[in-house]
Amino acid sequence: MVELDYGSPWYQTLPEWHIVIGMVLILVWSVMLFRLFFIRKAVFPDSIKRSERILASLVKLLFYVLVSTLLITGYLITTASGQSTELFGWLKIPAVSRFSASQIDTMGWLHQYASYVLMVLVIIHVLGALKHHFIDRDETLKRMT
Amino acid sequence: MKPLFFLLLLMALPVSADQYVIDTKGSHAFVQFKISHLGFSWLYGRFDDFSGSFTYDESDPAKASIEMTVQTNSINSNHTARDKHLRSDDFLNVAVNPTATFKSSAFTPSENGHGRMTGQLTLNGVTQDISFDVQFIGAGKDPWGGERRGYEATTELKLADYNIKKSVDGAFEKLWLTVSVEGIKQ
Ligand code: HEM
Repeated sequence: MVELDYGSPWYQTLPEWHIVIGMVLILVWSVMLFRLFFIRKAVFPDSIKRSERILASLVKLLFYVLVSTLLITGYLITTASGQSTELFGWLKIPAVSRFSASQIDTMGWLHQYASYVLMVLVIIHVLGALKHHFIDRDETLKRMT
Repeated sequence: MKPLFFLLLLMALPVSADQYVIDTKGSHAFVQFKISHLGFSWLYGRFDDFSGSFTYDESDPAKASIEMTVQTNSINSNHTARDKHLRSDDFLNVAVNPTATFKSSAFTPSENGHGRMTGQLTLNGVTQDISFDVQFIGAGKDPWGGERRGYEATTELKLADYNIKKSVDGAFEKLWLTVSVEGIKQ
């Protein structure tokens, strides 16, 4: 955690909530990925330019890669000791493997910077959706709902 | 008579100091520390990966010397998440400073083989003079045909002296360091 100081009253609880929410996300995300096999690909409306289609597809792929990276590294860092992690004193998160110091640090680096890239992309994504809605006045934002 | 004379002369020459390699293979050596946890208790930790050697000459103990190198990313406080934090640039910054070293410069023997070892400790990229209180533990033949000699050395250091970022000024930033070594005579 970047600025969560040792003296902060949140130091003990915030990471636990981060991990619990993350674990729920892993479950939701697995279902999302599973559904990809059964869902027909969204077709771009004709108003969308070719360059925009390529960009949109690339960014979408990047979103999938980034979120998957975050979830996987987050889980592996949490359980890197090779022993299950206990949250709130009762919730056990099982470990699959044990990792060395340098492996943990590499995953930590990935987790940190993947989350930064994701945050920037989310902001651009929202701005883009608003642009389609208010400037281009097309259907893009409505189609998302 | 002449050969015997030369032999006697040779024996009278100062023997070079014995070289001992620290037995890390059999793990008969430890780099251990303790630091206060907010004044409540002692937090113990150690470095798992290090190497070194020392010299000792029975006839001239003041010439004793030691060199050690510690791999900082092997820090182990028995808590994976804390160890990750200790390796980060808040503390040891192991990516930039992968090793910590000690090079002795002088040994002041006292009685019973004990003494004081002075030298330079490089930690977190900062080199400081430091001196260890050295206890001689034992020496002699081991059961496997070799010869061994062991010491335990202790010192105190302040995290701020080594530019460790998260050191808080005051009461809880003093670290007690214990280096326990067993050397195998070469
Ligand atoms: C979209 C999902 C996620 C996002 C955006 C995210 C974001 C972050 C951020 C910004 C940090 C602070 C970076 C740092 O201090 O190095 C962090 C740290 C951490 N995250 Fe996540 N995270 C996600 C998912 C998860 C999951 C699923 C888990 C575990 C099951 C997890 C476990 C952790 C842990 C243990 C740390 C502390 C690492 C350290 O000590 O440096 N995260 N996460």
